[in-house]
Amino acid sequence: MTGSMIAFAAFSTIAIVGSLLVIFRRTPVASAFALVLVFFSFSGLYALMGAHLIAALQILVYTGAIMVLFVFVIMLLNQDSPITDIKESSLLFKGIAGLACVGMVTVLINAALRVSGLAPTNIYTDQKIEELGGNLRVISELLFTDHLFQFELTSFLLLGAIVATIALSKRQRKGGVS
Amino acid sequence: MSLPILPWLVLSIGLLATILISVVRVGTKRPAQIFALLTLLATFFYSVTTVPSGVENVFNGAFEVSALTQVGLALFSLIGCIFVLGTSRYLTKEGIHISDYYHLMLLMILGAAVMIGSKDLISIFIALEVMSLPAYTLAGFRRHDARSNEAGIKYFVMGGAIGAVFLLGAAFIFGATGSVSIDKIFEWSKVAQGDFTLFYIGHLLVLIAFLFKVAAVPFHFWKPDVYEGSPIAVTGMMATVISAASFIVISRLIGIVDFGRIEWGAYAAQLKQVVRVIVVMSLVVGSAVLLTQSNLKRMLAYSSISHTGYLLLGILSSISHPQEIFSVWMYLFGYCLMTSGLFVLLSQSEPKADMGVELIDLTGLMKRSPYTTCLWIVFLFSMAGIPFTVGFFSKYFVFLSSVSAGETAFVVIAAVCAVVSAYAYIRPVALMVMRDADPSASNWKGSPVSTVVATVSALAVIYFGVLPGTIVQFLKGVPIGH
Repeated sequence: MTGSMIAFAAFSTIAIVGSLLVIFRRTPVASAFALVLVFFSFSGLYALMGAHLIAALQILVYTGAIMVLFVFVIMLLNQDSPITDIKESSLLFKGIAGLACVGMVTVLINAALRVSGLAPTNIYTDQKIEELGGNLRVISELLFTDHLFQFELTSFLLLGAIVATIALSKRQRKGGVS
Repeated sequence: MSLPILPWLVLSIGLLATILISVVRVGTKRPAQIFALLTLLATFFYSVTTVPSGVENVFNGAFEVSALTQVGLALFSLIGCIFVLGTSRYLTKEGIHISDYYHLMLLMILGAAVMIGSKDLISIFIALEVMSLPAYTLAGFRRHDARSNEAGIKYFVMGGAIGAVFLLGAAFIFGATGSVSIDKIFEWSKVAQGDFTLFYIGHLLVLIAFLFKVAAVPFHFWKPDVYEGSPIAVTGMMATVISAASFIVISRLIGIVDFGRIEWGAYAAQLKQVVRVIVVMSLVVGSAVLLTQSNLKRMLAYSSISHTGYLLLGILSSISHPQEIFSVWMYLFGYCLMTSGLFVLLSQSEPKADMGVELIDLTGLMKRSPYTTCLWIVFLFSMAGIPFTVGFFSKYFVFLSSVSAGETAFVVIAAVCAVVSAYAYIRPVALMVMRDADPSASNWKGSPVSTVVATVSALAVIYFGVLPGTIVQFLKGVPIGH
């Protein structure tokens, strides 16, 4: 067993345990911190795969920015007491949902077992990336050449998010123009 | 210099101008409304005057400009015009007549128009989000109403899950094929050897994501609640623009592999089996539950679920016979035309309590306003698929395609469901014509503009129901992606 295998096993175990904690902890703050754990282990997994830029971005964006927002929202909502379930759904729906989950997990495990049979594209090997000048350079070049359209489209997505947020947070009066 | 993406550019520049003008003239909605209307009209004008005959790929093959995508854009901007003109009074009455409404509406149309042209799983995903994000917000726009809030949250959570499912599927497809470009995946499917399980799973997942979006049974549970809670004008946009765009993407994703090749035969058979089950369930559930609804918006939600069934029947026949896809385009055209007209009429209601529009509100409408009743009858008959309306030819061509693709048994099921659901569409007509007004029935009062818009839609429904030749000829000539 190599060192990277051990690291992979450790990071994945932490990720799985962390995500279970996110769901099963009843206190929102505890869930939020379990989520931080998950993000960190994801970042470790990305680094193991050689995607150092994605690993750094994962920490900066998710742990740094998004989780801070989560904690802010929890703080503002003042939900430090455990929340009880809003509404119990019927046993039938729980059964159907459980079956669907089991089916989905079976499919995913099946896929994971077969994945070795297929060789994904090997255009960007570790050596190739090294020759081209590292992860950051390769990704930026792709982003501004091959995927320029998607990159520009994202700006409309952000514009939409801004307009939607302003529209929702504006004070609104019934029957009037705001 | 020719610029193939000009119509899309016109729409995006118009959108930015609309946002800017509302920043300059704060406190009144009028400039935003006028700019939105002008933008949509200009987009419509540019997209119908420059329809290309072939398929032109731009942005490294990430975006397709063709007759299909450009006519789709024209249709969406036309629907946008119908709703801007037709529901202005309704928006004022609901207290949501603000400039943000128009910004979000234009963004939704832009997202839908970009999504139908996207030939790349990443741009499909981003465009899907550009289209959906405004829709979630607009669904929750009646903020004083708990049901509208519920609709917004439900749609948002559902949409988030849909996005995750799509991304998971796209990741599987990328793992199996080494590309996210639809053209490259098609090339791969022509030569690929070995085990395709990973691709099958990915393909099914991305399809499931869009089946959620069009609410095919069993992925339909969110739809009635979201339809009921959202403002009528927004529900109308969801039922037309979002459904039509999602169906165009479904047809693109179905055609992502070369089913003519022998290696894909077994998968094609399995995929057809899956679609058949979904078709039957959508038709049966949609038509049966339609009969039991008394709320008009819930009724239209189940009606759109049954329409999803007919559309998927067309998609089913296109798996083995790609040229039959024109029946899906024809159905979408007719469906968008009659649904937008019906929602404009629906927005003329003035319910007394905050209860939504019930069937009982329609009683005695013939005596109260005979002209509006005639418009209602045209649209409802078209929904039921009665001859001399566009709804008849929509169903007719789907059935014809399915017969020629050898799906006769499913045509019989669909025809039975059409007859059953016809009862549900004729029942409101009977209430309007034969019953006296119930004391609790609400008033119906539309602005003259909205009545004119509904009249034009009704005339189009009748025109294409009597003389469908031109549009069918055109749609048959639309080049198929692959």
